[in-house]
Amino acid sequence: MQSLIPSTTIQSSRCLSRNFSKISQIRQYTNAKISYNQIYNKNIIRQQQQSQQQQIRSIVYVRGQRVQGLIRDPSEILSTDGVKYGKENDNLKPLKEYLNSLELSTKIELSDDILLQIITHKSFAHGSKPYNANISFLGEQILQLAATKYVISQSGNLNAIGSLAHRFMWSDKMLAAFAESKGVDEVFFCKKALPGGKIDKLYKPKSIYSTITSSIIGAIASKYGKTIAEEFIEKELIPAYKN
Amino acid sequence: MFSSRTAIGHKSASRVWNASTKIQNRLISISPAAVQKTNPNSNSNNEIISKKYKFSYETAKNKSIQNSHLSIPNNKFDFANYNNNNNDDEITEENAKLIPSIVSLHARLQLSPDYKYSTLVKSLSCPIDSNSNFNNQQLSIFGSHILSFYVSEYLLTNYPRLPISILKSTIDSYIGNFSLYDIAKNSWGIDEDSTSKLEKYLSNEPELFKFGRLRFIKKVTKPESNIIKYSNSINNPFELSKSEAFANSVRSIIAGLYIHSGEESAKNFINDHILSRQVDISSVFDFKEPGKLLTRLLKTNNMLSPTVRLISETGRLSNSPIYVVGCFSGNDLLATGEGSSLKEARVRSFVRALKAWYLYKPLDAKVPSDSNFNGMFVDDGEKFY
Repeated sequence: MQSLIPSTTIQSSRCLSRNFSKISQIRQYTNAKISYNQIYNKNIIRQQQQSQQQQIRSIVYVRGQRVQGLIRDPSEILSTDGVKYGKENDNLKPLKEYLNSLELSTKIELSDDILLQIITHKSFAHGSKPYNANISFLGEQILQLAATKYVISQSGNLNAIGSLAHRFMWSDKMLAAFAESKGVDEVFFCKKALPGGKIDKLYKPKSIYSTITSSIIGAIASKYGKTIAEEFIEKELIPAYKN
Repeated sequence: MFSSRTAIGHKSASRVWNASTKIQNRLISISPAAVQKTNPNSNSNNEIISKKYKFSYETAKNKSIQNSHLSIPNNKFDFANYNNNNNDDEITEENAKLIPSIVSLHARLQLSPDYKYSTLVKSLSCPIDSNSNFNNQQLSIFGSHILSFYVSEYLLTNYPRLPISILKSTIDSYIGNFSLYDIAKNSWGIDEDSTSKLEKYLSNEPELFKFGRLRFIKKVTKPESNIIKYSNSINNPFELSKSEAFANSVRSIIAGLYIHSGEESAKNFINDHILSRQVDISSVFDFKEPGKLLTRLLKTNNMLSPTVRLISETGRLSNSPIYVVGCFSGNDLLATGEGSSLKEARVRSFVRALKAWYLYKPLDAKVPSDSNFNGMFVDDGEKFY
């Protein structure tokens, strides 16, 4: 045991020198609201208190400019386009209003948790919040089957299957346009790497925004079953194709 | 240094070998594979056609149809007015009943009397040239949609926590080309029409009997040695690989079942013939950094980070020691692992803990298409870095 002690001391002094270089880097490249002395002093104190500790990381929240090695302010990660993540009524309002306006054989009442999950994409906050990948997958499967069944019921034969129009019925373009037309994509939590902001042509990427529609279908199916989900597709989505 | 991947790979290879289906391992620390687009020079007809899918069941669902006799109305969503100008090639029901292999296939699959024999003949006819309309192209697309839905709803309700990449891999091992080939060839006994016209003539076989076998244009990937292939077109659009042709016949037979006997019987048929096959989902997982992943998983679920404790050991000083360790979160035992070194045992316990989480199975789960369905478990999604 005795031989162990000197080695850790060496390691911690190495660790200290590494921290010095890091701090000098921060000082050189940022104008963030952190004082150099503060971190330095904190580290030294910590070093003295816990000389056995091998790894030390200064945890500082930084707003504005990003610095490698510094953890970002959580409230910055947990928001999209200035909208804060959460079950607030404002976030869920567009979706709730739309679901209330539906006239299906069963009243669609989904819990706030699942409504929030519908409007959260997996790119949001590194997937740490519940996101819609699984329900949108289920919804997509139902939509594809329902669309195929619809084509057959219209024509009475299989001629139109595999046509462009048939495959268009579950394309990202169609689903994203549907979400936009019903106004349910007003609040959507996802991560977009768009320097242009709202004027960017891809401000609403179709492959991401299409998951709203498919996860509404999936969420209905996961609570009320396939029949109601198909009824939703027939009464809501299919009339939208014709326009 | 010991790596986790070798340990898991070794284990899965020795434990389960599923008939003729080789399951592709999926790294789960990466996000699911997106649709790739081919380079625009090769196929620039339209955007949807040029998409390339990773799994064969996805490709089967999104196929485009090559049929020069199809007239498409101006309003493309007017599905009732898609007309086919060439209908004279179809085989009659009376003729279909004369083919022994069709009759025996009908009986073997225990199809209802409503199921037309001519549909079975159609299911076994892959497209051969653009003049003939009598083929299973559209039936197989419809069938793959039915199959895909029922298999995915089964997996989503029974294994709600599977990451999407694993889920798709598993669906493909149920209904991908190779699995369906195995069903068609080895369980249903569908034969391939490989004899030439001359051989048929010499064996005195009626012309009609060719309809009883699976007919398709074989894709030649490698010509025989000393033979040079001269061809104007690079690819014949009707060329199919053997597995795809057999798989399409299975998809078409299921579509026929929907058309003749309704959705419920198609569902039961899929339960009996497809979902009854055993697929070892746990062998699809391939964790690159199990310890990291487990720590992250526990953190997002507000649990204490994993600690590994030695439970028992034997033969530490011999050449074949065995250690049994437990992976704990606080006081909760997540999983145990054994191995010939402490490191191996530790990694194994991490992997088991992760698999126990991902392969969670609700008791007596109902699928959304069941009449007594009463809600299902909706997962939050896979946690990644």
